[in-house]
Amino acid sequence: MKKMRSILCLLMAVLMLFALTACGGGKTDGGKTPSGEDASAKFNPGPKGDEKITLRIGTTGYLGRFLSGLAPEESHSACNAVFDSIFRVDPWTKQIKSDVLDDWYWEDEHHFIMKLHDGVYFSNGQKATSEDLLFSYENHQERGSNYLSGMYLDLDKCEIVDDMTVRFYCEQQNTRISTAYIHLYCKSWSREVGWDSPEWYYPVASGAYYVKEYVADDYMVLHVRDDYWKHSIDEYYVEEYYYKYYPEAATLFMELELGNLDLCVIQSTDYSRYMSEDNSDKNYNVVLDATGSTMYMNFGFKDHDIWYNKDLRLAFAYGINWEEVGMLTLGDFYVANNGFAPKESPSYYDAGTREYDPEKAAEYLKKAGYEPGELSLKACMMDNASYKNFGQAVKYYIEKMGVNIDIQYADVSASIANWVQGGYNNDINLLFAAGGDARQCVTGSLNQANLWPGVTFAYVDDDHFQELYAKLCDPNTTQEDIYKYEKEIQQYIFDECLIIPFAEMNSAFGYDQRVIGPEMVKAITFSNRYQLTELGLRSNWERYQ
Amino acid sequence: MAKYIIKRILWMIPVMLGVLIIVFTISYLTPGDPVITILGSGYTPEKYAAKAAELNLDKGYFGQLGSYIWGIVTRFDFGKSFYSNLSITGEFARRFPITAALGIFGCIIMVVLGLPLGILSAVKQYSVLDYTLTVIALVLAAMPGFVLAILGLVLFGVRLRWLPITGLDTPKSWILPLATNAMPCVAMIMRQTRTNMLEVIRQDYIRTARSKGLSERTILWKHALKNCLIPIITVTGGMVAMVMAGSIITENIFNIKGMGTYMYAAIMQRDYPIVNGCVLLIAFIVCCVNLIVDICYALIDPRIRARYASSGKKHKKKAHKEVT
Repeated sequence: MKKMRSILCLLMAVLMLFALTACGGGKTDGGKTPSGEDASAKFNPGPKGDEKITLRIGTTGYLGRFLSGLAPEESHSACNAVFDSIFRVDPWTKQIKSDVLDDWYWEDEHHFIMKLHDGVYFSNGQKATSEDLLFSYENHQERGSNYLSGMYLDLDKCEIVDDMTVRFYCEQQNTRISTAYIHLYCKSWSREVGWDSPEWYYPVASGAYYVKEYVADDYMVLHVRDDYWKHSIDEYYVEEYYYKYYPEAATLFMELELGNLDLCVIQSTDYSRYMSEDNSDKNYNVVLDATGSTMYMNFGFKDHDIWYNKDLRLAFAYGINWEEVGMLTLGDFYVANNGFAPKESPSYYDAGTREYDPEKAAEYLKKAGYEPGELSLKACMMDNASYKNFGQAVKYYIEKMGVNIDIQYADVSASIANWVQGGYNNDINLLFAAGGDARQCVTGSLNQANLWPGVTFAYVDDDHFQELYAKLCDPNTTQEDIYKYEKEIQQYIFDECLIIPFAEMNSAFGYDQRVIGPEMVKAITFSNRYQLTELGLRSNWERYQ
Repeated sequence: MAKYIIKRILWMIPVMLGVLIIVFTISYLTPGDPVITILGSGYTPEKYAAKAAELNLDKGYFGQLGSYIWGIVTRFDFGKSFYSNLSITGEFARRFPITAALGIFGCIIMVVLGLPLGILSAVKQYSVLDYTLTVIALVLAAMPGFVLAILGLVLFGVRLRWLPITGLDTPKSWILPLATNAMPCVAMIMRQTRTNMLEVIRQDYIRTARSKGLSERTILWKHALKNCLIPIITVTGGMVAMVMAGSIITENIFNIKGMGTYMYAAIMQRDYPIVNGCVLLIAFIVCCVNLIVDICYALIDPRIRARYASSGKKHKKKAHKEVT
């Protein structure tokens, strides 16, 4: 028995040593390239002469067909390389641009004109016309994708003016029609193959890259086209994109460390340790990039009259330690923000801060007419790790204020159904991160705040707010006025405590420093996606050389 | 014997049907809606209805179950993925050989290492070797597969850079996934073998064999091993199922495109046809393994063979009596 004990101790010691060696303690070999060279000697990303590269992108998102607007999301990045975008954000100016349109404008209150460039060709040699342009919108309605939401588009009233022009009809003017990523589809080919066809893994499109190889759920190779209508093949530095799918994030980052990947998204705070490390002598590094949206708590005006009481809203603003909550939720990703645009955006505005003050919160709660224990709330949240951390932290503070709260955690589909249909009777939304908007503007972050039939808690029922929001969405508002109204609306939200923003959303991108630099990564990425068309061009790489 | 095998094969039909109904019912009752997951937040009732009809989800429970069973029985068609729209049967054909190869090699390692080490441990009872092997077996059996996999990856893949960490492209790349899959099972087999062996080598007939002057090797491999194999085979059968189920973890961590990754992605996306198909396939394999285990019992143990033979004769006699 004694012998057994000593052997057990010895083995445990060996096992601990094994675990320590594996999980830390020792210095990694990250400073060496796979061939054993010193990595720092190669930190000079960018094209040299006529050389071309293959960029290896790792992803934990499922690879899907090239049908934008449908799950799975990850193919959308690749869609940006294979299709030309009717509208997209210029990564360098953050302004809206088009790959295929010569002009676009509001003709009157309802009609939006798009003029297609004469000379856009699909990969099957066919010339793009206004039929294709209109179809690029129609197909979203046909396939049931949600890309047209917020455009107020009535496709039955849209008309083809001539070979290159389409007059779109919108119930009301909006910016969504010229900010949503809509790709140019080839109508005749789409009709020929149908929506269920496996041909959508190798689509006919007008973009700079074509799908050379696709293995479902494994990898895909996008190769630059030699007959692209817009640029010659010599203008491209990235000859191929190699997309590799990793079901497990830990393996993905190990591949980055080993130098087997050039670019990947870090979505989980579990890997935020990569950011706190000094990676200057390693082959890999991590850059934090604002997605354009902010995290905030909003009140369910649509369903619950209690939120029209400003004192109650203020009680929540003071009664929750937002800094603590932000750190608990986002870890190293946390960047405090009390506005609705990232700090690096020209739309950023610091309207003021309400410091955590439980006594003030109690006063406001009493002023609002509630004694401790009298108010009970319900909320429904998605059941991922970040949301749960947030939920638990906020629940702690809300209950400390003397308000009862019942949080139901549900999966994505159940949560969305709940939010849209109001099934769980959401009194309050504890966390809302609007879809990232590369323009990094306030309307991008406050998505759905003006939509009454939208998500139950997103609508802000305040006349002055809606008035300011409408001005921001008005396509005729100049950029100068937009900045002015953005400040005004942010100040108004703070003063009236209509929504409580507390952090900005950031994505982290891991990259191989020997291949690509941090400025380039920040420029061509937003909200976990890449602008592959821009990334491929040699001239864009030369900007940062 | 042949009758017995046929009987067992026929028994597989109601078992598989039962599994099919249970799996389908569970996925049918699981909260969450694949239509909403696909459409996102901006759907309208019309879009919802159209998508539900497209995915065959607009029918009632029996309608969906009936068409599902009919497709499998008549065309071996498990349907199409909600997301990729690819045929599930086609994906099975592409992925199953990978998982099967991992499983088969894992089982070979499991038996080739577990059995001799268990015997060695029993023969050298209370020696340093026995203690060492017992402790290793304990640790391996107690350690979850994913911990072993991650530790192996970080140590041998990232720190030492001896082995590749993903895929199955080179012979070297098989080492870590196989070790992750097989090692916990090796430990179980080893412990089972040791226990059984210790019991058998104390039996009278082993003492008799020794007194007859047979060599220790003959006693061990011919007399003792044969008699302790039945429980080991039972455990090994169970381990095969464990290796198959363990492929979900192994394949995901090592990024191997087999049934495990396919099933995991489907579970995360609520792609019910894939989940159902994978569970059915695993259930079928487990049934087959159980059948093989039963046949092995009969091959190894003459008493079992004799029982089937005698029951067959009894049956014949009874029939003869009734005729006369």
